[in-house]
Amino acid sequence: LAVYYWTVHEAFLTADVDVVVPTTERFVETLSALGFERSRDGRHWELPGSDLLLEAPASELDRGATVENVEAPSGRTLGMLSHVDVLLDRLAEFQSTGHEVVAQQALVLLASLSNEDRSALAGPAEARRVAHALAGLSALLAAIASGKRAAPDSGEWHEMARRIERAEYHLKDR
Amino acid sequence: MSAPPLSYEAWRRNAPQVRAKTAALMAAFGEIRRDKPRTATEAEFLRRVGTPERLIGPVRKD
Repeated sequence: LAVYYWTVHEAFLTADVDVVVPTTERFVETLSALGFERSRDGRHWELPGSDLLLEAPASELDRGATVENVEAPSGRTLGMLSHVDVLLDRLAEFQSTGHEVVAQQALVLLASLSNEDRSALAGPAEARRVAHALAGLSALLAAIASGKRAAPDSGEWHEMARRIERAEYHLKDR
Repeated sequence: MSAPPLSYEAWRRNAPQVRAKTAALMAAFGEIRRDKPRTATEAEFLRRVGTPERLIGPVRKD
């Protein structure tokens, strides 16, 4: 959901929502009391009659990650992973998987970042070991925006991710 | 001191501007097709709520 929140593109909207929360007994009881039903795989909760599926893949945020408080129409406040941290997460995922849709999300997140956030990215990117991914995708974004090249195809994304990962971790060519 | 919460209404008001900023980039991608695998539970749920197959993508064997 955070990718959609920061990019506002329907192609990145999904009904399965990751929440960061310890799956304690109390949490499970609360979801049950609200009407959520646990899936057979034990990892998801669905609210019957709604378009909402929850998963709690992690019990805490990455170290140093920040959340933005968002006030819902109900008046309740929820914590949304910050634009910068969603971008760093996608850069790390692209670097390790080469998935095209992850790269596309990272590029759109990068393109929609405020100038202030963009100028402060280098330090956090180094700390998360995604500095080469940030440099590579920033250059690509500029080239696509200026019309100097087309968006890569799936094979090119995978090759780019392999190159970036080798550079980030000083790995030898295989 | 933490920042005041962003309101949903402000997000809605600002959405067209955010979309416009990246519209050319999205057009350069063409139709988005998800290549990142999902779990069988997620795929089955998304199919049931009418998500297009191209946005569901491949299903991971758990």
